[in-house]
Amino acid sequence: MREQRTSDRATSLLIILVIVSFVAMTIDIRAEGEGVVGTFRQGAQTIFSPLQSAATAVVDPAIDFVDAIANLAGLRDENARLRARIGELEERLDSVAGLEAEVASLRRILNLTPANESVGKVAAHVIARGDTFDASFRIDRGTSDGVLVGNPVVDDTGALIGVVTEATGEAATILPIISAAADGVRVKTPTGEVGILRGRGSERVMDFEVLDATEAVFADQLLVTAGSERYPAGISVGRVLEDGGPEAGRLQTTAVPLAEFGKLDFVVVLQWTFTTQLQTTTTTVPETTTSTTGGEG
Amino acid sequence: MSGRRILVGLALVGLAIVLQTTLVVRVSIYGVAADLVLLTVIAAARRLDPEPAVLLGFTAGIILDLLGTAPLGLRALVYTIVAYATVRTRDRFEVAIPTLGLAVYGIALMGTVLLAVVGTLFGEGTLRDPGVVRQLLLGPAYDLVLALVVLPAVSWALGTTRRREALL
Repeated sequence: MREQRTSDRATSLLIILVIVSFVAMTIDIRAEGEGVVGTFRQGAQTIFSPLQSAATAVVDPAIDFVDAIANLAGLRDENARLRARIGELEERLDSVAGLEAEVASLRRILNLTPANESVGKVAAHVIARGDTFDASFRIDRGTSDGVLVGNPVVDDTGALIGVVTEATGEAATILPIISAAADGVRVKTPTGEVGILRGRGSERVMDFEVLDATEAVFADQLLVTAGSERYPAGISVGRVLEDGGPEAGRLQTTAVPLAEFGKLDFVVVLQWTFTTQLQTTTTTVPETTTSTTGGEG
Repeated sequence: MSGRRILVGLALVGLAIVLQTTLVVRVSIYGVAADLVLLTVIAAARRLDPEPAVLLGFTAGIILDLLGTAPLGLRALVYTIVAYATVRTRDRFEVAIPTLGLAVYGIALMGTVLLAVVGTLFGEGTLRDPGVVRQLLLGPAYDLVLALVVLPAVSWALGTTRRREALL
């Protein structure tokens, strides 16, 4: 009899908690992470971040050690390949130095600054990750280090990873571009076609769509950000996976991101938001005008 | 039910969350990782009274929701139902190790499918992923392997005294 009563109470509790869960999901989605839910998130993350940092400090060396053992057989080949590559790169270094000087000179003339170089950067360590269905991850830098919600995040090679969606004093959460829940990234091809790149949740494949397409895209073409409210222009994002041509003005194909999302240990947060971009543009335009006028004068 | 066992259950869930987000998720095979928190909820629900078991599932889920970017309540919903399913079926399956293994796989599969379906309904787009079938089938299989360690460990931590119960 007692067992039956306890079981009935558990069923009632289940129904209540299921309703609470659905209400919480609805409120969270409508509030878009702001309000009370955002405060709760920040509280939980503040509590768990130190524990996750400590655990990562222990886990990282162990995983690196296991990785090293697992890759031991391939290291010799990798070493030989890298030596050959160093030789090639040294040969190209002289010509690259000349090109760099030329690019710098042209930039001065055109008054251009690449997106990645015009903003501050904060290097961060990945301290925690989501599960199979949640591609988000957490880093050990937060608002006290100048990281803000909306800042883009790139890997150590400069490839786009995602955007900061939550930030506490000491940590921040990143939503990667490969997540199906992430907003699409506005990118352009080398031929100037501008389209949207959307994640599917799977690391290696993203959907690439161009409306009003005029030219075909080809496999291995580089896709860079075209500039939007979410990301500044000029960040490398991925490469086209399959050739595609416009059909009735619409082009649909697939692409792969450049970043290795499964192996991220360190990332770089770009201290850029669309608001700062607007402010910079607003303050730059009169200066340019003045400079031109002065030059003409 | 002593308060001590409930506190131990909460501590185990906390530990599972830290290990899941830092260690287990990095040991992914074919892009899929085991769900240690789900497994800990199943293991604790086998040993706790029905109400604390259901509440523990909800607590584990809500903490994971707060730490991630999915809608708040998604994992809370799934882990609550997983804990409840474990409570309702535990007497029927805990007769031998194979039936227990079958139950763990079944409940983990149910939880993973529920997570994908409800997540998609709430804008996560999980079912749009071409690799979702692999994730749905492999995840519970990894959970089953991990259960060989987690189930006895949680039973031991929650103070089960009978040897047969601890083994199962």
